[in-house]
Amino acid sequence: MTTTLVLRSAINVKKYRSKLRSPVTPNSEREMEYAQGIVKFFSLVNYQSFDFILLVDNTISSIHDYPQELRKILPESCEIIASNSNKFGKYNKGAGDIETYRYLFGRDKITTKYTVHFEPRLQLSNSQIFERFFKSPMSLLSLSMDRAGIQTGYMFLETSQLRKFCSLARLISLVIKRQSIENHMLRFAKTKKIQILEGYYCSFRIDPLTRNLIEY
Amino acid sequence: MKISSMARSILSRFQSRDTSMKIHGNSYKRELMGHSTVELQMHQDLEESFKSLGPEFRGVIENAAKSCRVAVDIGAGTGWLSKFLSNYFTTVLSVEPSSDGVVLGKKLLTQKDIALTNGIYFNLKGEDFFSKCTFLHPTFVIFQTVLSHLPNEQVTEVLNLSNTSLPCGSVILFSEVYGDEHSEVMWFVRNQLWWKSRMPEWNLEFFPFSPDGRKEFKGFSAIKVR
Repeated sequence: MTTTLVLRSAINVKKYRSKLRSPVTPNSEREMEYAQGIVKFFSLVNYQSFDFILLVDNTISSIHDYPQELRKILPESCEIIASNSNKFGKYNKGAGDIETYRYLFGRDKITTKYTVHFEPRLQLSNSQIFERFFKSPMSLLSLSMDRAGIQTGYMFLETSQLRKFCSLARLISLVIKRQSIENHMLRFAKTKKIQILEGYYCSFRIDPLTRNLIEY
Repeated sequence: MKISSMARSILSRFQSRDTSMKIHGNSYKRELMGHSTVELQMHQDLEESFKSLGPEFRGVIENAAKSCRVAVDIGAGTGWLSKFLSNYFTTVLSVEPSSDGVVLGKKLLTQKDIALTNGIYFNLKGEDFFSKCTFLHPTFVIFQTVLSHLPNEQVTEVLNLSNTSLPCGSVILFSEVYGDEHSEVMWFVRNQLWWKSRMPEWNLEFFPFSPDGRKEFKGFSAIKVR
């Protein structure tokens, strides 16, 4: 069994602010969130459990633009990828995720059987789902609190399924119809009979703008 | 896989696992580095003393765990109560103003056998925490002999901010003293009327627990109803 961990970040949203439909956290706050999230993640999940670790950021065009402070706290084996693949992502975050995975697949960056996706802006508070995955690897998703979609902050998927999902998605449709990747992923998961956990939360985030603590 | 020395140093702080340590009851076969053994023992002793407070305390926690997923430990210190709460709640947020306490707590709670795997520390005062965070779902909060050390104005501020931050259905357990006499000698003893007047949106239930037969009592709970 081989697994690639994909840490997904979007560090520099300043340049997109005028195009975004909803308010975004300022860059400085984001850096702080990522720093806390990365440290917390690797305090609960052993980085050596993964065969490959990628940190992909679709808002920068060079890895030298990635903050030095964040690079310091990543395992050395982590490859930072500056995909700058944000044509649709600046209008719809989910579209940006898919766009970024297409970038990775197009460059054969993910070759393992499984892909674990995690957004380190979330504070992982419980590692049980990771332990479960490593004990018995399988595609595993979690239903969002409103039950309308999948928690896309963390996902465990067979890479072939993730590739299929990304190839099926119509990004322009996501943007124009304001559809969510969470809902798309839920429909895809049901079609593929992927196990979906209900009422499971292992991470949270305190939104710096609203101050709301949201569990994921 | 190789990691840089700096990353290794940072990660080791959070991933330290002394596999040589074995705990059998209250005796440790090997000492940890520094004062950790003493502090681990202190964790266990404090937890035992909390358990002996009376069934009301545990009952509030057990009931709250049925409706709340997140627990907040205000004045968490080195985290012994957070660790206890982690058995009941999905996520435990430990709030501690002392940075030394946070560093020590993080160190202790990564030790094998008492590792806290569903908690996170905030190096903040209680009032600062509540002013930065709004809960969308019923949440359990515990003040473990924290407010008894603070003057009325500061406690009122903490209560106001927690009231704003917490939604209906939230539960607060005050492991704090109360009594008929409003004493400010050793610590601040406020009467029931004082607490009720500061928490009009909460239903308060006072426990008849008297630590040593004095006119001071310890412990009450509050459920937000409005």
